[in-house]
Amino acid sequence: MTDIRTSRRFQVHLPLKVLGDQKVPTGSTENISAAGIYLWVDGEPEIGSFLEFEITVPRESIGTEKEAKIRCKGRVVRCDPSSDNGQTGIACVIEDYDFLRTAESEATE
Amino acid sequence: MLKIILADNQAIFRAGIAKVLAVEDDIRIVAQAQTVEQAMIAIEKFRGSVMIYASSFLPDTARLVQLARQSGIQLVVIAESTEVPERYLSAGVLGLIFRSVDSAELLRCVRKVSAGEVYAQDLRKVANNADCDDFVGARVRDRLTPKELKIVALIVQGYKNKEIASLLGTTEQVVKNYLRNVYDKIGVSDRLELALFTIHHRILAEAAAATAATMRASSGNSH
Repeated sequence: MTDIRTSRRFQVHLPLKVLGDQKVPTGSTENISAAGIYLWVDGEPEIGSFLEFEITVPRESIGTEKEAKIRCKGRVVRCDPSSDNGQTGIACVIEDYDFLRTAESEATE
Repeated sequence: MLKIILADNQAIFRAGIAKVLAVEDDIRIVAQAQTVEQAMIAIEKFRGSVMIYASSFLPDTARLVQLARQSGIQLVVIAESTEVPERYLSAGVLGLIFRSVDSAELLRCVRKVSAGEVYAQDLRKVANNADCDDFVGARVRDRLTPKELKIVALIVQGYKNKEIASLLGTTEQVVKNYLRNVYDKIGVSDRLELALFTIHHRILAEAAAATAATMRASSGNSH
C-alpha cells in the first residue's frame, strides 16, 4: 500500500478535552500531523461529524513556566473499535486550529 | 529455547534487532511481522514467545495485551523517547526499551521478560544521552540563531505574529521573514508542524525556552 500522507506525522501523546460534546468528553492524542490527528476518546463520535478539541501541551514538553494549548476543529474520518479501556480510536482531518495561551483558554471556558 | 517475534514496520530496525539476537544460542527468531495482520497471525501461531514490537506499529496496547495473554506471549515494547513507560507497564506489557537500546540491554530485557519479570530501560540514562540520541533535534537547534530560537519558543507558547513582533520590538513582516527561514531550516510547512516538531524534539524545545528566558532577562536588565 502506498502512503499518500503529505505531512510529517509525530508520535505525540498529549491529553485533550473535547469541547461542547458530553458524549466524547476526554481523551489523548496518539499521533498528529499538520493535516490530521489520531485520538483516543471516551464515547463514539459519528463518521463525518465535527469535533472541537483542545490539546494541552504540558510545561515539561516545551520547557516553559506555563502549559500551552492548541484548539483544533476536526472532521471524523474513521472510528476504530473500542479497546478494553472503553476508548475509541478516531482519525480526524484537521480543518482548523489555533494556538491558545493559558490565559486565553481559561477566559473562553 | 526462547522464541522471539519481531513486529515493526521499520525494516532496518528489525534487521538490527535480529542481528543482535541471532547470535545467541538460546534465542530463535520465529517470525518477523511488518504488517499488523502478520503480527496477529504470529501471535496466534507462535504461542509462548516473546514479542518485541514498536509502540507506533501496534498502538492499541489494551487489545494487544489481551491477545498476548490468550496466547501466552510476553510483550516488549519499543517506545519513543517522548512516551511515558507507565502507560505500557500498567497495561501489562512486561518489557520496555527505547530505540537507543544497546545489544547488552536488549538481551537482558528479553531474558527477564521471558522469565515473566518486568524490565524497563532506565529513562534517566536515555535523558542523559539525549544530546547524542536526538541528532535531528540537535542539528536543528544548532542551525537556528538565538532570535529564531526565541520565535520558536513563542510560537509553541501560542503567541501570534503581531504579539511576537511587539515583544521583539520589530514589525510583523520581519517576524514573518524569520518564520520563513525557520520553516526552511527545519523543513516544516506551517506553525502547527513547527510546534509539533518542537514538542517532539525536546532538546529543541528546551533550547528555545532557555534562549527566550535569557533574552527576556537581558532585556529586563537593560531597562
